[in-house]
Amino acid sequence: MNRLPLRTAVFLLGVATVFPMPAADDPAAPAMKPGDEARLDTMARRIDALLEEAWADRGIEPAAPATDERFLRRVSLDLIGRIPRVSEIREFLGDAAADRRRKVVERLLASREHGDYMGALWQGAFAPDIDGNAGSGVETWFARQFGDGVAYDRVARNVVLGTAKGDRDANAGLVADRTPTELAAAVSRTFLGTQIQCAECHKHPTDVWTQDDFWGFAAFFGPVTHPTTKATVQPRFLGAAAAVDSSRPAREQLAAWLASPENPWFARATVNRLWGMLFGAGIVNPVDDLGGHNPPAHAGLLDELAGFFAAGGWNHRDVLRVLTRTRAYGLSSGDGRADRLFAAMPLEPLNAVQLYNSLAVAYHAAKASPSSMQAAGRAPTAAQFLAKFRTAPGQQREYTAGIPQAIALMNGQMFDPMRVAYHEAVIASRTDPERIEALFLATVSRPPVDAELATCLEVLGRETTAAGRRLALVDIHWALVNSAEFAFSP
Amino acid sequence: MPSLSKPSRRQALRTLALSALGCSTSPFLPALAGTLADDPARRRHCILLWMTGGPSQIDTFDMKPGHANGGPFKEIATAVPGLRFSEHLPRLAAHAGSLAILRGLSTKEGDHTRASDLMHTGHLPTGPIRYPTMGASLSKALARGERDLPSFVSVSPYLPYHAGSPGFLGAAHAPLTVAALSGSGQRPDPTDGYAALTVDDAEPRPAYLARQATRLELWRTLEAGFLAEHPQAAALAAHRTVYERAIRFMTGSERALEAFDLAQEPDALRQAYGRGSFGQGCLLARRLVERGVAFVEVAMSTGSRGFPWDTHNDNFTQVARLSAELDAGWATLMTDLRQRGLLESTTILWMGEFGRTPVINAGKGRDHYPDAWSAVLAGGGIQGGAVHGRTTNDGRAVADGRIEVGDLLATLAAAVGVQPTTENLSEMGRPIKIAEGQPVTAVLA
Repeated sequence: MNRLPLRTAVFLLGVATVFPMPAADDPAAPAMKPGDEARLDTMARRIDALLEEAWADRGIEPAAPATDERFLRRVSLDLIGRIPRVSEIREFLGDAAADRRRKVVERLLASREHGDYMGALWQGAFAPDIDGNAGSGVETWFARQFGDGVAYDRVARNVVLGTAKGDRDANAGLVADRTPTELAAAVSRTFLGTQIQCAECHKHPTDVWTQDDFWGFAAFFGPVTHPTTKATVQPRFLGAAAAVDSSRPAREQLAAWLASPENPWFARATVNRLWGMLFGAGIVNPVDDLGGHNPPAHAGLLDELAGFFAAGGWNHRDVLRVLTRTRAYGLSSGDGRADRLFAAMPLEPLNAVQLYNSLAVAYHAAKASPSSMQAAGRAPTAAQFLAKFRTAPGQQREYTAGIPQAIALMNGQMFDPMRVAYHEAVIASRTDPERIEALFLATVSRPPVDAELATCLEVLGRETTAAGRRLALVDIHWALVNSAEFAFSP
Repeated sequence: MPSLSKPSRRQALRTLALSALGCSTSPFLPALAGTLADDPARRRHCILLWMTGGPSQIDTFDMKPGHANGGPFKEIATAVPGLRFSEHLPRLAAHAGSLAILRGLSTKEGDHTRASDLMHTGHLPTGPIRYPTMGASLSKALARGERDLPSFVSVSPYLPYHAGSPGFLGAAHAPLTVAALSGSGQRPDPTDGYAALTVDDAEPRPAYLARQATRLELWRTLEAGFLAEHPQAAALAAHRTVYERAIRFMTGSERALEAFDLAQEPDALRQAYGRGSFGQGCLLARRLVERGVAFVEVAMSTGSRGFPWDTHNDNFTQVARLSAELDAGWATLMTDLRQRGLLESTTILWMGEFGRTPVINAGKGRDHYPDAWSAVLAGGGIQGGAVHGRTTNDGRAVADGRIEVGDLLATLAAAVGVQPTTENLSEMGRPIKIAEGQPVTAVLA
């Protein structure tokens, strides 16, 4: 099953759902309202102040700002899971407006691709054990929630309540076939940022959780028996001393508790996950291991951002708007050293979804959407590709792809038809320098520097026939697609 | 190509109060003519047979006949008097003289993913240090220079539960992974009735070869600027390393790809190993060891889910079937290695991420049980026929000979002639030992 393109097609039909009319009971619909701008800017400047103070305290010199080309590549990968198209780069660089970075963020957040990408990421959090075939229900469900701008407290509530009755996707992927202990682990990992499943058999090795905490939480999702006492366990909130009120449905109480002020984890876990999505590492890292044993890199930053998220009606887009406006997000990668307190942007290998979608852009043989990669010929199905290039959770900064993945990109039949039908931007170009620039924009999202242009012109100049020149252009494209610069988010 | 650290390593070995030194002088009978036998730097090999899901110790190597926890399986005698295995491991029983059973393993993790990390690295995945999987650290210690074939190969791992990362050792020590299973447990279609264990697309195609020189020239030139701009980025260096090795693997002069052509083997031998990915994986392991690969991990990840030993329900039907597959693959591997003179230079470790509950649950299954379980060592450096550790009659606790994961990994290291206290530097500059525990001398030759 061709997961991503199919889903894209589904969303094309329902493109109006990206910006639904704000419902009366849905204060967090994504459209911007007057006054929002000031609130977002205030939070962004607050983050700048907190980080700058911390950098000064520790004598950390932040890296230089990133170039516009790198910013566009980074923010496109982070928000919609692919590199920018040639036309998008040219439009962005040609925009003289002072707030062009802000405008591009709005465009990306409003696109259907944003919801799709969030769906892929949240499936990875909620159900890391399943991939495209088995897990498409989970991914599609989350994609629609994020795409429709459902407030995040309601997303969590829908999951806990077994979601919207009659919602086939959700019930298939989220709840059906999952035991109470699996659901407890998935919900706590995704919405509380904790690994309580480690307490299933014994006290958590590093955190405070006990077996009683785990089984008390699992009891919300079905009848469970304590492995030691053999007693039927009563549902109990994490960290609570007593079981919940047995006269009311337990799951309803859990749903209400999740985003309540009594639960210290929900807001922190979510903003931390969003931070990790943009900065390559959470304020607490790994993003699903919050707790006293694993202190945040900056506790005040995490708390204030969590407060902002809760006060603003649980709108994940607002958090992303704020984060993309911070000074830290606009920094370059410096010399590539592992960052110290977000004073440089770490170079992060593209995850499997980003790589698949970005290859579709780089091999853009026709017009339109990433699904054109399928149209171009025998392109790999998304499920095949994602299975091959999947990265382990928690290793987003490591380059974990190995020899088989490198071989697939260098020599794989997967990309054969796409190699031949090289980029439309090249076809549209009239001179060799223009053609080479198009190849660079299509792959590494920037024009070539003089030395690179000279190298490519020299290689082209060796060819005396039209066929040879065409092969040389394919070679340049091949080299760029297989370069480290293509494989990483700057 | 001897490694630079060889003299100091030899010194370290001399101080090792174990008889593992035998490895450097033991006669080696090469199956491949010439080159390997003459290589003075040739060392030992290691094969990890990884039982994804957590195999039941009571239904395999630590039987409890006469106890309610023992289940329906019967014991059988082995080649070693007094040592008994499950009736479903008859061929392996004949090799008991080369096997050492560790029945006192006791660990503290019952979650598949985390326990897989624990057993592969010796550490839980908590804290800032990314510990390397044992295949990475041991192949680093055992490998002799760069070859076209990587020194660490991992066969059919089930990725969601797999701890295959080289951690702080970096991509140069990552495994070449073949026939990995992703979340849904789907595997490539079998070829000729045997599980397919090839590296897709590795055979260089004419279209690629014709342009390879130009492409590689362009590739090195065009990525140079980005690499130079970020000299401190370890991940970029890893990317470069992986590509250089992939190019060598595809087009190097040592014909590395031939190792994966299992069709070169007699059909009778292939059948003896078993047609599935585990049996064929064992055969591939032998071919790789023969070609000098230091560490091969063969995961048993048969079936639709990828973690077949996770027998929460209907344990006995499943374990009988899995044992048959295990028995064929492993026993044939023992015979094949022995006949080629490779068994005494190859150490085998059999284990999963934990054991299974002695108490049989309502669904005739057994659940996760890290408190008291078994692992098996075999081959080079191992005292064949030895048994270390004992569990109580009900199987619920270790009565004596308790060992932890660190001890097991230290024993494996010692068996292949690697000092377990050998240190590597983590990315923070902190020295980290290959294994933290004490070798179990009773099972070392």
